[in-house]
Amino acid sequence: MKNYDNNIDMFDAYLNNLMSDDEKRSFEQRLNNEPEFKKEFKEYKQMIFLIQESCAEANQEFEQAMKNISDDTFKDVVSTEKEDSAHVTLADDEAAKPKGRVIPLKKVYQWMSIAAMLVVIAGVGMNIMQRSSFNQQMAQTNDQLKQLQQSNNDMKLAYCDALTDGHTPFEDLTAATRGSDSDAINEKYKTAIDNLKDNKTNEAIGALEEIYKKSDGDRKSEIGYELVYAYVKAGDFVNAKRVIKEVKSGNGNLPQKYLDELDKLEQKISKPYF
Amino acid sequence: MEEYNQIVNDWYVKLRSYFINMVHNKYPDLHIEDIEDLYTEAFIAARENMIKGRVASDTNWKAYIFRIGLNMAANKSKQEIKKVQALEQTDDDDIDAHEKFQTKLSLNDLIDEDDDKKTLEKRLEVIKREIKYLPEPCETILKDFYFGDFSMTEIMEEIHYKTTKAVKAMKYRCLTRLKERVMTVCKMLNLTD
Repeated sequence: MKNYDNNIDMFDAYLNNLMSDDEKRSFEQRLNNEPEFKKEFKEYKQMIFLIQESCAEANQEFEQAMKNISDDTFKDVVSTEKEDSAHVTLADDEAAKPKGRVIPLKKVYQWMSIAAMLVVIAGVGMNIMQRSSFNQQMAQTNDQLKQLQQSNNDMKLAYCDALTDGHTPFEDLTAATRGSDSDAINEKYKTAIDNLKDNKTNEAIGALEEIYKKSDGDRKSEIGYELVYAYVKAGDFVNAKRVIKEVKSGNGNLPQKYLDELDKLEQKISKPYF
Repeated sequence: MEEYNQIVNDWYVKLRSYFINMVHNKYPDLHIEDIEDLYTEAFIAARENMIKGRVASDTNWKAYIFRIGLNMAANKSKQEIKKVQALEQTDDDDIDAHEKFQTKLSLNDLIDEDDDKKTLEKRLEVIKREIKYLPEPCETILKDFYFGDFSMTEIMEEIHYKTTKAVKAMKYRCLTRLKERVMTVCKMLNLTD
């Protein structure tokens, strides 16, 4: 009989018909004899069914959208114009020394999160006891759930902010030796950095991604370095890790101290925040 | 029309990083810019096939786009397919790393004789709402595993985790967390059994 790490692995195996006949019989006996086990399996099936339903809906919407979008608009979405940039030599920028300061907010965030949830749940519970109609209860719970989710989201953003605290961006990119849009890229870079300072993270990411794609060599690495921080600030750890990987394996020469910084950041964002 | 544009754009942007991670893991000899190009070509090819009716309409589009892209990457790569590498990345005793969840559940699978249908309906509404607010990486792990026809190994590659056991542990944590949130709300609404 296979040892399962947890009941969910067992449920997956049962539904996927991966159990031997003996295992299946034993599983079904447990369903008949253990009400808690049966309840857990029922709840699991409900979640899986709805995950599949929500994906199926999104899938259909996507197909409809792809079929109905105009060719020109589709081309705009997928366009990936690239220009060749010169390989540039690295200019050592002593002024751009990032100050390292780590604020261990993770535990504080977790306790704050639990405390906030308890306060909201306690408040909601007292309110509900005083209401008579189910529809009124539902409407109120919906609002408070939204607030709770917003609160959780705000705390996550605060944690992401803390991860980027003390980061000083490159003031100027390494000069390009050729390429007519070098000035435009520099301009866009400065605007993106200003947007980051003003917490307009999405705008900053959009601009940085655009010039990141158009650049090469050391400039690409420098822009990539800033892009990582922008993604972390926005809480998008998947893209942050992707860019870290690209910067480390690219043909630019980022100074070792910045590469070390990216390594440390990668370790932190590889752990889930909750 | 604007809505269609937004949907296509969201999918294009969202799948891109996962695709790049997965292909880069499988074919490290390919340059990132080449992988980006492959992604765009795969996306374009998928749309063309969709419009020409070459693919069944209940196809899982994310998996389809990824399959096209991976085939293109395999052709482009000078190295052999990274099945060996993928196996090395999984733990020796994780024999389920390449298994896929292939069962499609229906409403009938959820109903018992002793169930109160109205309570069940309301409970399902609660779960549906919670699924809408799943954070990452839970959304990707759960949707790709239970609907997307992705194995643990493939999910590990796309979200850039180190082992399939880590992905499984996260999947377990995500489902547990989802269940806790649902239970909390159902208790408040007196929907518990």
